[in-house]
Amino acid sequence: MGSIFRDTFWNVPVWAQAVHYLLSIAALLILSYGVYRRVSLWRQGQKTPRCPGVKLRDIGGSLLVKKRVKAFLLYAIAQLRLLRERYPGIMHLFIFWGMVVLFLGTATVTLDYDVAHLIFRTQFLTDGFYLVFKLTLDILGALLIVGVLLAAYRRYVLRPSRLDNLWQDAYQLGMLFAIGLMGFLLEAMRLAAFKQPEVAIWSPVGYLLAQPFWGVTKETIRPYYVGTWFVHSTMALVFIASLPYTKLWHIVASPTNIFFRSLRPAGELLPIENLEEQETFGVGKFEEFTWKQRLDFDACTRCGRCQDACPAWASGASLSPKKLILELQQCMLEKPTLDTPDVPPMSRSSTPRHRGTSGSKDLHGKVVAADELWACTTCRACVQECPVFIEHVDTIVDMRRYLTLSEGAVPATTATTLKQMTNQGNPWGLSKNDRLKWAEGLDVKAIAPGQEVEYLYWVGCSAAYDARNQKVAKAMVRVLKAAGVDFAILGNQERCCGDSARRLGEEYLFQTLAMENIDNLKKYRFQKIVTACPHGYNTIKNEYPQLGGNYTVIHHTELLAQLVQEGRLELSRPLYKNITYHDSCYLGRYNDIFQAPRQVLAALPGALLKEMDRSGDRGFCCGGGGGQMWMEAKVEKRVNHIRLEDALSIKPDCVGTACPFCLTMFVDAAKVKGIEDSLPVKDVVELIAEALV
Amino acid sequence: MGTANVIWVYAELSGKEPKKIALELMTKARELAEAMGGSAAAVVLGTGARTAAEKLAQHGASVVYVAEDERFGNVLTTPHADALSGLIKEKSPRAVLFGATNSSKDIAARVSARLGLGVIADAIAIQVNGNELHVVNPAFGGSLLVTSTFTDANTAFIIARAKAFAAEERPQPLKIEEVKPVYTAAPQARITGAVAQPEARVSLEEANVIVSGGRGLGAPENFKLVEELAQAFEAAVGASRAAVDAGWISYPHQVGQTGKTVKPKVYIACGISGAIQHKVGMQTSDIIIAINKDPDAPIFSFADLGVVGDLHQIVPLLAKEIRKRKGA
Repeated sequence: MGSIFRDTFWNVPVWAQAVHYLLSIAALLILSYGVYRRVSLWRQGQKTPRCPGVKLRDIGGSLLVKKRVKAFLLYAIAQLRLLRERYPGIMHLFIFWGMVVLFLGTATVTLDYDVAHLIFRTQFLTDGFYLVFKLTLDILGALLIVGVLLAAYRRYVLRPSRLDNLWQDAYQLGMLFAIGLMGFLLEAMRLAAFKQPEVAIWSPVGYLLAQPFWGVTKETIRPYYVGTWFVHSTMALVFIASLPYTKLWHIVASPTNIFFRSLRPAGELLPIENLEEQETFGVGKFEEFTWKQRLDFDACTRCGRCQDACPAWASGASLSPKKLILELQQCMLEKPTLDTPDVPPMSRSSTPRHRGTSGSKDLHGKVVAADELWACTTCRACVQECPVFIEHVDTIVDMRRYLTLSEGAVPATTATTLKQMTNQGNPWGLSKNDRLKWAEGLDVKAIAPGQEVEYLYWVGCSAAYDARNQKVAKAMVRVLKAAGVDFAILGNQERCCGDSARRLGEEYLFQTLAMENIDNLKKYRFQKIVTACPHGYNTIKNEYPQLGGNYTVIHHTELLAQLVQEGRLELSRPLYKNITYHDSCYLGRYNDIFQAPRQVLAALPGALLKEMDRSGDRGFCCGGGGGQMWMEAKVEKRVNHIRLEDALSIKPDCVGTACPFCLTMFVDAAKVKGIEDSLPVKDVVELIAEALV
Repeated sequence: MGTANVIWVYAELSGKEPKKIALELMTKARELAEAMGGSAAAVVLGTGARTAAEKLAQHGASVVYVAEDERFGNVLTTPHADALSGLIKEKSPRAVLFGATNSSKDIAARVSARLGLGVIADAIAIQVNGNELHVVNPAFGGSLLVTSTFTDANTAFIIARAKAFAAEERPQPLKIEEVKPVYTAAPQARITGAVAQPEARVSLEEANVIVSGGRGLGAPENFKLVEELAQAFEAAVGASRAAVDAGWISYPHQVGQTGKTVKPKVYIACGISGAIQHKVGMQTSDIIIAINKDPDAPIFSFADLGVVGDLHQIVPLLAKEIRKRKGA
């Protein structure tokens, strides 16, 4: 027996080899043209700074680039987001790593033969190294086949509702399967022809497949081998050439999108700069999207995780984040023949679809319906689930800005709310002079100039005006006093933080309110701002810096957790046994505060914290965010009713919340169900206040 | 040039009666005309115009211009605009008052554009100063009152809010003038069908009395208690968001932040807790009466009269008493 080496082109006639090289060149040309066209589509977008201040020469040292590289490794290579769901995650990982290793293997063979052998007359795929190489490829090839079969089973037998099946899904899976299987067949034929069991054993899958024709002679195998080889290699080239024209394009677009993901705080919307001088606002025409948004649309793989997570979709509204992104994708891909996935068959609304060829006109009304945009609760569940980091919420708000500021087309009751925010600085239009009324008889002082306090308690509109939430403010005062915290409030000078206005697209009102608040805050001395409202928390912490307001902001659950830990609260009265905690989107997903409220609840005497199925970063929205508090949704089942059922399914004695909107939405749903007396819904600080001695 | 001292009212019909707002405007027009030493007139278009003329004369119209044509029964307003612009060109009144209804606003806009005349909308007060008309309208959500006037003596258009003026009788001898409108063109749109929105019998915005029901009613069938009481009062039926959410009554009845904002003389809230979402839709009612079993319900903090008790007993008794006193 001679040495073991890779017999590339064994048995393949020279003419076939020549044809193969010619086809390879053709494939690469078709690929390059497609890539060029597709990348040009991104480049037509508006400018946006995604790597601000980074020069090419110091790219390696930039912190931002390091963060990007890290994210790329975690999410594009290790695919952690995909693995949030086990079946599709593992399935995709098999296919991905199978493909990567087989591709690298083929590249190694090319290097071994085309470079080392043909040019330098030597080969490195020999002996021990070759055997390990073979074993690795064999295993990864098998994983690829398993992954493809799992994917096909899921897509065509299990048929999860979020998937829509197009020809290109079948094409993609079919190609991978056929190329992989034929690779194994070729290997099996080679092994059967050479009959060296001690070598063949290193290719276990190929060896197994070789068993049926182990007895067949080399000469019989030869023609079959050539035929199979030719089909296999040609299919591989078709696969490569079709990459930018089919769903396979996600291999390029998705990792690119992950690399350029937003590194801003999750809750920070970008401002409209120089608002006074703008003539158009937000995105009214497709051309006004940035290149990154175009890349977002192109990177979508139609996996539908966003749709599964979307509360609007669950409530029966016409918004599906998946459908929305695909509608925009379709709008971008100019020719309907070029990879234009049809809108999923399960679309339940009569939303107008884009059917034209220009892809640029009539974005609003033709491509995206206003109802879709107004249905969003900005809960970010879609953004959180998206394996390729598409930023749905920012895009929706951009389009809302156009509707609100350029068209003045806000939902009817919302217009009243915005007007009232303008007039009285609160959404209900109650007098701005009544903001301190809740504190009557409580000995709470509005901060005075010259006085310095540790904490400025930002009360927020709900706690100041809404009878139910006023109880939260009162509990807050009681607890802060019990713990001896040095605090004051802003009193009648406080205005709406502007969160709802901004998310409703009313950027002008947001900036006005924010600047008024920042100006007022300038007059006083305090170390930190504490608030019981995650919306105020997020806005003041992450968005006020855009307008020059920089503060240390903490949420009351964080402060409470700290007070509990320091033993400054004597909690002795047992209240409820089974307590569940409902995550506020703006606290959890937006600001990563998951543990603090849970720590506080766990500290309640005799309390047992029970989690709902959807909790933590998968917490399901209450339905109140993104301006939904001020609208009547046209839905089959309201989001807050769905969420109440989530809670009821684990039979808690009490639901804990940490957000005035969540509290209101829960109480409302409980009222409608007629269980407001039997299921207490309380803010975390109310529970603490009740448990105090 | 507008005829110095004649003030017109474009009077919209509701069936064969002038709308309530038309009578309010008529009273005001009379008052303005008298201050200017002139007279008031009304324009009524549509089937029933002649019948309606009588009521307008009672409220101060010296002349009522009427045109009864089937095409005015249509929601499309081109024929109205044709008739009105012809008439204004011929007679040149000093001013024409319109009510702030969808259809009147539409007509005012069309006619003003055709004739190149000025409009001041959203009026809550109108004053006369010599030959000048001063119109007051709220701005910035009511935090400012703006007084504007017309810079020329051409016919002035003023669109006024409902209930800005009180309707009072100022009887004048009935004088009807028939108008033969010239229509500019065949209407370019036609109505192919109409779908009736299940609406309350009395519309919430116009009602003097509103009876509202909330979750405290306990069950959908109990909403008929609210309806009976509303019937006794000849009142409109309102509801809280929770009652609408529960599917007990349709959305057009919803009062509150995300429903209608109402300002009746009397608002009777049955089984409504008075959460802020509801409160902001009805807090400016003249008198608020709350019936609720929970003495801590927030509604008692802003109701003028609070009844703590079982609405299932109180409401039927109240309805019975009202009917008795009305002699029905």
